[in-house]
Amino acid sequence: MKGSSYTLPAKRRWRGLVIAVLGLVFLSMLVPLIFLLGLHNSFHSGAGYTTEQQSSASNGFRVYDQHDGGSTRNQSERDQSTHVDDLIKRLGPTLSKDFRRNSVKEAENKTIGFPIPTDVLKPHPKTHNTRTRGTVEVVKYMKGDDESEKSCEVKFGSYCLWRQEHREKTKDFMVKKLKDQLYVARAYYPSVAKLPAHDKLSHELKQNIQEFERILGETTTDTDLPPQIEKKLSKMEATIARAKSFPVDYSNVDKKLRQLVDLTEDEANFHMKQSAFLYQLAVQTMPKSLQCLSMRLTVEYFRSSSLDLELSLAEKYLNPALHHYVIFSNNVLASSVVINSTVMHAKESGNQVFHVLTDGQNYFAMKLWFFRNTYKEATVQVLNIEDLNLKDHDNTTLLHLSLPEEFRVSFRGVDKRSMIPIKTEYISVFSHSHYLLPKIFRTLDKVVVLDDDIIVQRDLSALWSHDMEGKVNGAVQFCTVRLSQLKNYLGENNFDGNSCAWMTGLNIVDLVRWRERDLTETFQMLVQEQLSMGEGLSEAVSLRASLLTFQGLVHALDDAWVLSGLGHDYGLDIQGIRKAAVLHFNGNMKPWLELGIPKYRGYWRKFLNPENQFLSDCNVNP
Amino acid sequence: KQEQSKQTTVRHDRNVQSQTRRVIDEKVKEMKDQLTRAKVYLNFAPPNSNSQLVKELKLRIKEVERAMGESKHSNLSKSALQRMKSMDATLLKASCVYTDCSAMAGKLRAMTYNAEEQVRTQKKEVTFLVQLAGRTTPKGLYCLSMRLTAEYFALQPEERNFPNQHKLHDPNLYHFAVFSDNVLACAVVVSSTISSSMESGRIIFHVVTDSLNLPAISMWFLLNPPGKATIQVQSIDTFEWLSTKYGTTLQKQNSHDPRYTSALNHLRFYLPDVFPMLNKILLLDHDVVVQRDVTGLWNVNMKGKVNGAVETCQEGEPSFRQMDMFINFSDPMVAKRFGVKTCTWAFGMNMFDLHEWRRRNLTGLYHNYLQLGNKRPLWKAGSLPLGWVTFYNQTVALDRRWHVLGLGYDSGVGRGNIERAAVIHYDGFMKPWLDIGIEKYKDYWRKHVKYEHAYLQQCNIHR
Repeated sequence: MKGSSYTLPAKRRWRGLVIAVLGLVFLSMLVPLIFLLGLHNSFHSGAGYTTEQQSSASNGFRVYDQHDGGSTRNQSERDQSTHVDDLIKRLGPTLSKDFRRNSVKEAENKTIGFPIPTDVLKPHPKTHNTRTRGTVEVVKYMKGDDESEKSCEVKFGSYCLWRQEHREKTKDFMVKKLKDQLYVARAYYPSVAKLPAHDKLSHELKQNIQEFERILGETTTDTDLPPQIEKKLSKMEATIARAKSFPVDYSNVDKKLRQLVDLTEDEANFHMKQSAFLYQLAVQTMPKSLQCLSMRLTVEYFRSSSLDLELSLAEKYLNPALHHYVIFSNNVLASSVVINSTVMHAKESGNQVFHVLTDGQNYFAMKLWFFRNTYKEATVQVLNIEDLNLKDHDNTTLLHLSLPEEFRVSFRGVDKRSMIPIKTEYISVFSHSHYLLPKIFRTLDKVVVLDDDIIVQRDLSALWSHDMEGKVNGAVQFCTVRLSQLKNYLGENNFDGNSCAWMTGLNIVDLVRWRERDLTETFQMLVQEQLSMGEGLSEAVSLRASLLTFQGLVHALDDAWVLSGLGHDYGLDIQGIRKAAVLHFNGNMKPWLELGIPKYRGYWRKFLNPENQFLSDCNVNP
Repeated sequence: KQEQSKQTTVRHDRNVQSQTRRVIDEKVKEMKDQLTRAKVYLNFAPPNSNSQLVKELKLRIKEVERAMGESKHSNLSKSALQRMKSMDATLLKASCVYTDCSAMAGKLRAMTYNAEEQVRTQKKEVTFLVQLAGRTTPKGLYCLSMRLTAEYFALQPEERNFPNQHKLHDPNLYHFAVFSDNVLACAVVVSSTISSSMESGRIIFHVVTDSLNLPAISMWFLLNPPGKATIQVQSIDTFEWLSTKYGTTLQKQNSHDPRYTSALNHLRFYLPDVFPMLNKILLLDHDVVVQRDVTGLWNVNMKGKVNGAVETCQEGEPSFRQMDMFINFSDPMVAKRFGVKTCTWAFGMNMFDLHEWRRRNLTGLYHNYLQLGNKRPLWKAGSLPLGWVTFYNQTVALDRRWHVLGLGYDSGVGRGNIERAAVIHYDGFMKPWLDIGIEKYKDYWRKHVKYEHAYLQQCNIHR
């Protein structure tokens, strides 16, 4: 089967050529897919995109540079343009450099894109007869836009989802009409001016053009237009009609117009790159209010004389008879929301023990926060992963916190009869830190791992009596992605191509079986194996190793347990959200960011206490 | 001589290179034009048409696009030229089929319109996102503050003191003030000043921050003492006189913009109280870099005025500001007291005569204006308009080479101007420590950052 992917707007017709539905993922400019593919050299020259037809099995990606402005661009714009290019280039390699330096250390929610062919999951009836009838193709202004929107998503991921939501429609039809007329008049003017016999007409045209330029220079909205504008418009129309009636050399008109198209498209392209970059930045950096909170808590921690806990708690931490929840997090608010939402819906909270695993940077803030706040009857332990003293762990290498890793997958359907809308998904997998679980919690037999970007809306106690059927990891499966589609990443290993990918967010982990099977060892071996192959696929390493490690050991939880997508999908059903036991804000638009999806943020925010002094001091108001 | 010939060769090579580049650029432009035309023709074809011509056009588009991509990093290949030729032939064929000129104009107009719409919405996006970026902290910077803070509290209390504290109140020395909550920015201001000064032993730095950032900033300067200069780090939260004398706590306003919410930003109007023993002080914003010895400023004739600043009233320059841009002259009180044409000036590097300031009680005046402004809309938020009215008629112009502005928003500041300037100022959103900073200006700032420092390394702060 063949698939193809497009990036330029006017290629919409190509879909006629394509028979298969094919998902391809591209690198977004900041998301170093190219590193996955080992093409970093090409990346240095700009953001790449692919335009090539490609066989789904091969890795034959071609990377092209984004085309940038022509020489007609004026100097200042040129400066700006190089500026953006600089930004993009810099951030790309910087990220990758860091990855390589300490791939284990990465403590951020990385979002990584990778291509997967989707031909397996959506077998298409190969009916070639066109059933599209009566599709009238008129010049619809937004039509071209539509198409570029889709290629945008492949290229830039959730940035494009975000911008679609933020787009406002033009209301100013009159202004648009004036612009249209001006455009046409300008195109005709040079040719008409060349006809000496029609001095009067060319004079008239010129006057009209000047008048329109003046009006449009003063206003950009319909409401600000001068009165009698309709009259002026019809005058212009009449003049243009007359100009059109003369045999003019069209090639000039044509050329001018094409230049204009070209210039504007360049400009649009430039701004698109710029805003995609800024968006990516905004989802990767930390709001000042959260930084303030973290600093306040840290300073407060050191000022408070003693945070000694009752010894009885230590017993609870180790007691295998209780319900133990583990959260890896570097975000005090997020982990607090997870715990708060869990206890609020728990039938019994006295038997709940939460273990928050964080890093040295956030430890003191977390420690103070969870000391000062109580969560019904539940117990909370904060652990600094850098300080853990694990037996038989090589103590020369520092332990670093790594959060679940998120990967962006885009599915792109191009089909003869209908455009299957593009779909961007985020799947997340266990990272290195998760493989320390059996060592960190030696006395425990079972834990439930919660990501810090979820909230709980139901009592979770049923998870503890859930029959795992001998499996190690109870997880929600993500069957839109099957392992066979990832074979480029999974390599030559034996695996069942039909099994689904699974998600983090809510995982029941049977530590006893984990230890029995020595899965940590398996994982580390797979990582070593991959690293020794030295393919520089640093990010895909944990994806591959995790999926292979739990091959056949995943027990599928009912889909009703978790609803995911609240960090990227604007179109989730409200009923579904209300009903789900757990909501997962996977994706870029985390609820604690200003870019979080507004209509879902309420579900998260209600588990914060607005009265909290620290929050109001720091203006934390997500 | 050999060296010289080598240079000539290099120059020659470069010439050839740029020439080829130009040829390629020309070709790329041509290809783009071809693509536009081909797309317009495609637009004319009835929907789902699979005619020979449509197929051919689609194929050519694909070919030319591929050729265009390749020509970006390598030289133009022969096959690229070949593809352009085939495209030309196809376009010629198409032009015989579709001859309607005004319909063509319509299609092109539609394409332009699409692109225009995109530009319009994207510009809005960019504005929003840039402001958003201004409200975030890079992770590296956050990490640095946190590590320094933890380190500070690990010190014994007696280890937290700075040396030479007896010099702090000596009015015969050169006193600099920086108000900041950003440890890296502070570090750059201090180290750039020291490295460009002729006599750093006579320089005293007064850093004022808030209680949150005091540990981190103190720790930084304990680990990296500023040469022979003396440093003091204080917290605004310990200035009890703010509430006892002025009945104010500089409480934060409810705004998202950090420039308006920062109490540190308004502390500048209380300089005589912050430094009761001093007569003159140079106030630097934390987004500046000092590139020359600035002690000459202490010899500038202040003509009995309070504030020495560079002016920003040259029309046509990016830094141009007019009084009524921030001040509401429709208010009769304002119109009566101030002239709309009065020359404006900038914060960033200001020489203050504290003696004159006290004599004229300008802090009191500031308070009056502040209260008036709270009652009715007299000026926009921020310290600049209040500065203009408070130091109205009390400002003396400094030579513009002392202080060059605009490096945080204007990518058109001339290199010569920047390199000649004693102090350069990254005013605007695009601070050099942010990813959105203007790349070509970052090096002037970066060269004062200690990237080799272990903490910066640990926090992934790299050049």
